[in-house]
Amino acid sequence: MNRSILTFDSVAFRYQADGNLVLTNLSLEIPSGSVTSILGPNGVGKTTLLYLALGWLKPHQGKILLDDRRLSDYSRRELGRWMGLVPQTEHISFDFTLLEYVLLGRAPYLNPLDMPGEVDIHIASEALIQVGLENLQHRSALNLSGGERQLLLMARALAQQPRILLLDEPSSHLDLGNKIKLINLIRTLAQQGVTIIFTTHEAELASSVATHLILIKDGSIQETGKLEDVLHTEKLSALYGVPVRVINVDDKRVVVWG
Amino acid sequence: MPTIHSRNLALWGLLTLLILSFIFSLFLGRYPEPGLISPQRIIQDTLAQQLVFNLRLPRIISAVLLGMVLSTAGTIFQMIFGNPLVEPGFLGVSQGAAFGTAFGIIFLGNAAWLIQVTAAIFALSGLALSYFVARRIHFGGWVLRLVLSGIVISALFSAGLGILKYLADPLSQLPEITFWLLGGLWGITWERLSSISIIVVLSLIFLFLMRWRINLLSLNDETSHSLGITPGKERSLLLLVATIATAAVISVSGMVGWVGLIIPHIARRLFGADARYSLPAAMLIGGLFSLFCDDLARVILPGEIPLGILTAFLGATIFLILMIRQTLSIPK
Repeated sequence: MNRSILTFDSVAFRYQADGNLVLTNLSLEIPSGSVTSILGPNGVGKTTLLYLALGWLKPHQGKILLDDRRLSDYSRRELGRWMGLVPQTEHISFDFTLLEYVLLGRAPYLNPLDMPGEVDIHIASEALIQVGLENLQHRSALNLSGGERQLLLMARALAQQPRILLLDEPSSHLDLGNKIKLINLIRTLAQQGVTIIFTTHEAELASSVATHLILIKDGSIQETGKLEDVLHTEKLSALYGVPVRVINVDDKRVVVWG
Repeated sequence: MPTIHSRNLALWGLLTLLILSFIFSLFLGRYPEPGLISPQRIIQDTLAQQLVFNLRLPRIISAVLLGMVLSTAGTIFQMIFGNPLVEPGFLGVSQGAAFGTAFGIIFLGNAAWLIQVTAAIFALSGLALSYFVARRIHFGGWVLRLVLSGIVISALFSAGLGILKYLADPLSQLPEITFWLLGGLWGITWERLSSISIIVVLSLIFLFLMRWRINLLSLNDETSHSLGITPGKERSLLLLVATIATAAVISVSGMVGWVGLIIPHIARRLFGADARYSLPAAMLIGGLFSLFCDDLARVILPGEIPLGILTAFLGATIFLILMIRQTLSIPK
């Protein structure tokens, strides 16, 4: 097994000093180069876990290590080069062109007074090609469909050239065609050595692309490990609290319910 | 969306237009008769020289700086709050300045510089109060909290202004307060201009250099964090600089509304949202607009029209046209 690139050690988190713990005593290791899916029902703390990994939220207890160094020892700009975030949704207030929006992903490589140069524009254009939006690059980001918008956010994260890509419910606005595009894109990135962590409540997405799985419920980890060790009928049924079945179809694991 | 090349070209075009308008305005006035003064007259007539170089020149420079600052600050406020309907007057700044001026006129006598200082101090305290109140509100996001506290602080200052107007001597002090509230550049001298010019020019240069960064600060907090920046700090810094510059110009010009709201809209419509282009465009168009309004204010009638009335009239008219033609894009 590859070494851990991101480690949570007994992490606890709560949003308010006197509030309830959202995550309790959470320990996990994300292997370098893996595609890890954080799977669980709605509202169990999946996004919180992602934002802790990003350094946006600070743990109340425990520590988080990125490449064996404490997350809090990294500067913001260093973290911006290490990790890219694809949020679930994002409100776009002004009519930037797609290229201008993706160019914002170059921020971790630029000083506050710098302007993006030729190289940055080239990288941003490449990112748009990767997600298949290159034909729209001079169009307004306000006029995109939900699926295109998600791909745009993906392109911006790719322009950061991150070693770890964090995706929050990446398939939530995608139709089947775009979902398959997303899965292929995740596979390509994984082949290039990018570690991918994504949250989802859809077991199908996790089973089709993840190499590792983290099952999370009520703020703590139920199971963690390789996909084939974790994706089982009993474990998923316990996770969602409803009967589901994991069956093999053409050598692929498929989750069915009802 | 226009290409990068055409946008750069258009910016140079605007700069050229501003310089030409500047020179034109220098010759424009009501001496010796309404219209343009001839260059020979300036060379021969010492009164004309005094008029052009000691009254018109500082006034024209002030008009350009005023428009540039209000439009730049407007762009920054709108981008940072992700809301195209805010302007510099928004965080208690304008009402604070108005209160400060009335306070100065009533209690500190007639010294212009003293009134200017109190206006600036109260404008900044408007910002500071809005900021600290926002920090103490325990619900909503940061922008909502600032908006709410800005509204409350403005209301408090405007109530205070009402009391001061009630207390003011109706024959001497009240007209002076009223004129300041109407806004105008008739009192500009080299001395007053130089008292604000360094701070204004430095602020404009700083905000111009930060123009790409402003785009990043229009994103939500977690996204801008993920892009390696510290949104809270950088936003506060930009708002502070924009407010200081605004406080400085309105301390000499009085209340000049609508420029900071309408010009950023026009700039974005013509140049797109990317502040690399829309910010310098807003600066140049703002300078042109305010210079044009001040020219009208000086020339149309024998007695001067307050600049604030003209900018409000023209600004509201343009806004109305933009709204009716549905070219105003405001996210729901």
